[in-house]
Amino acid sequence: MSHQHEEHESSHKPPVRKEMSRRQFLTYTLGGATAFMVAGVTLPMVRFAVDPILRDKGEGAFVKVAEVSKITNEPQEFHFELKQQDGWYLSTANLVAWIRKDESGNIYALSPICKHLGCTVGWNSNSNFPDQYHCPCHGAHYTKEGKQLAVASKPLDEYKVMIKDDWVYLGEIVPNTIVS
Amino acid sequence: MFKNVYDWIDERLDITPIWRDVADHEVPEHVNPAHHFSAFVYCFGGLTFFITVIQILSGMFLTMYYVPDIINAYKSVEYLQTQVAFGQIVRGMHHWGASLVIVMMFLHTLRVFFTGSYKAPREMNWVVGMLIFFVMIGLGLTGYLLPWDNKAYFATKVTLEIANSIPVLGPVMKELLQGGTIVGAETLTRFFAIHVFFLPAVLLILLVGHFIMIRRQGISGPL
Amino acid sequence: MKFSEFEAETWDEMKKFFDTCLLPVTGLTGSEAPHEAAERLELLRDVMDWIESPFQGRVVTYPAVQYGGAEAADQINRIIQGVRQAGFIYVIVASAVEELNEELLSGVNLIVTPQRYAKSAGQHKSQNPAVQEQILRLWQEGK
Repeated sequence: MSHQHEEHESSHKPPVRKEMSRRQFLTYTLGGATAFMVAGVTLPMVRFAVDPILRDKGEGAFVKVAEVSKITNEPQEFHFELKQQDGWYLSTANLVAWIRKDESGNIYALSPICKHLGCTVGWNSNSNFPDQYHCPCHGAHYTKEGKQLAVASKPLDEYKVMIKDDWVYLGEIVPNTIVS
Repeated sequence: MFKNVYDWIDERLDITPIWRDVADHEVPEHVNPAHHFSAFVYCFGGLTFFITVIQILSGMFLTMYYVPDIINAYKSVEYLQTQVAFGQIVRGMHHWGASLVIVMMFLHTLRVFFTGSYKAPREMNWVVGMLIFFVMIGLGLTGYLLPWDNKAYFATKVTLEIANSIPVLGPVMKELLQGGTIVGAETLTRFFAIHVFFLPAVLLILLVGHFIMIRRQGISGPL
Repeated sequence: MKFSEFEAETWDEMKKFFDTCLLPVTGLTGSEAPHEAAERLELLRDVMDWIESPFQGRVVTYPAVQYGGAEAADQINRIIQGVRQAGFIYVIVASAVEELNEELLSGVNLIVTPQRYAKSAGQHKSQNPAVQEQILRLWQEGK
């Protein structure tokens, strides 16, 4: 038996293995275990912190208001509700928008809140000011793009507009972008 | 890869002496639980520090959602607990960590006392340790009010009455802590500032002192 | 705007824009159950919305007269006189009490109650075109 064994021995070189030292093994093991524990503590916190960008937006900040086919060159009044959730605080706003499309077919929506003191303006509501928005409180009036012509010092605000599947969606109120 | 990063930094800052001091620092035999199992009692100090780190981290992340005013405090806590991902876990860490850190600190203090480690030349460290103890109690008491629920409110009233009972300075301290004549909006903001800024700053300074002294003097000797 | 939204310092400049006072009359008797009182207040709230919402830059809503309906007509008239002394040109009474009419309230410019304007209420709860028309006419004709 041992004879065969010796013959085997003489024809092979002893195998050379690249062995890990004990120190390396310990470093990897301890380092890995520590990394695991640190991750276990900090990863929930990081996920907690970035939650706002990873949450579902839900219905989104835009509300479906009117069909595109109904929009004409003449401003029309549309009523809609906007639910706003800010953390734990829920509020429902009842809003009104005057929507029209201009000569190039772009749809825009104006807010009828007069920029003077907040009364509600009407389109073509005063025969002295045809084809204009007129405020019954102090006589402020605006062009169909919302530009202020008297009493008020700013143009009517706009709603952000998004067109999707032949519907007009309205978002938050922003300062007028049509008249500079 | 880690070696490359280390080398890059070491070429510039010569951190090897510091690293070697940490890495080659051997655990003395009498505090090593592998040699004497009962030596596990020497771990409580480090454990206290470990939980303190968790408290600081979880606390920092909680301030991303918590609102320290009387109208919104409770609602913000309810919101982060139920509506934010992992909110229960992060708040839970902070809540249970608060109790655990007191337990660990107490066990650590017992160890220091019963091994006589407070004796010369380590008297200053004992004093610093005592100050850390007071700061931790302060952190617990100020943090307790922040959710602004019934438990928090009445516990705070009790605490302030205790402060009030101190002779001479008591009433002044009570009104100073309250931020006014009642436990109210001013108290909440004040407690938030103390809990998040003032006491952690003091704690960090004390901890630095505590650790420097320990490394300078070494752990206390075998019994 | 509501009376509570004005400050002493700014009223002097602002009063030239606000010439109309809205006086709400709830008409409670005291014999209502709590929920009935709440319902009546809500009804009045809806009527007030018809007036406040489109004209908030010109109408000031004063605190409500909570108790007394037709029997309180004298008191309400005195209040209307007081409001005119304060500088308001137009006084509108919004009421959940249907019995209040122009005979009882001599100094008022307009009375708005749920039943009077129920027909034109429209699908949007806070808008009532007939009420708006009445108020505009009032301002244009000056009485």
